[in-house]
Amino acid sequence: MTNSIKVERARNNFTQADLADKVGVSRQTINSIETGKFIPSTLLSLKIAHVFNEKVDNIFSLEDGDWEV
Amino acid sequence: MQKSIVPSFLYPYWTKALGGVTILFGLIVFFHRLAEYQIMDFAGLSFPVAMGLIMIFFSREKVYDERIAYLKFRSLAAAVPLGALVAMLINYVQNYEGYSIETDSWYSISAFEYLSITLIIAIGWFQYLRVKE
Repeated sequence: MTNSIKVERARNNFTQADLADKVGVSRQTINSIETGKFIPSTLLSLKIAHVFNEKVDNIFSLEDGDWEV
Repeated sequence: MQKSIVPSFLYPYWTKALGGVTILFGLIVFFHRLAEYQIMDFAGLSFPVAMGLIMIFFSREKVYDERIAYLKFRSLAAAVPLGALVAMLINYVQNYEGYSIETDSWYSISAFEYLSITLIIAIGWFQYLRVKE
């Protein structure tokens, strides 16, 4: 799964810490999500999308490998 | 709707300090008995250590979010079978011929010793994952 959080942060002039505060997680969690090491829950994904005033699938998108079981 | 996937049954953050004190108390008693009476009672030590480690591992972090909950689950999932493997190795080395006719069973390390080993692995693995990921 890929995401455009870094791009959206830059567009909105947010640091990782700013975004972390707004959605109620640690800065490390935002960093892990951005680098693809951690896949957030639906609730956190919705919160992140809400902060950027975007739809979830504009922020997060599936890759071909995500369909492999 | 449930507000968060972070479990709500965790002990508060200050329980970590209580866990540390519990372990310290167990160690003081262990070394006192060793120095005074030459008794090396690992089974006796394991109870306060296991209780302390439970308090440390199952308490909240300063910031407890879903990534921390996920890393704790992963570290515990790795530590339980690994702890069992370590317990089996200790049993093999320490009690290889330790069959007891009286109780019709093989000698083994105590449940609290197993729990201590498992939680030490879990805490170590959790700290590693926390830094690495």
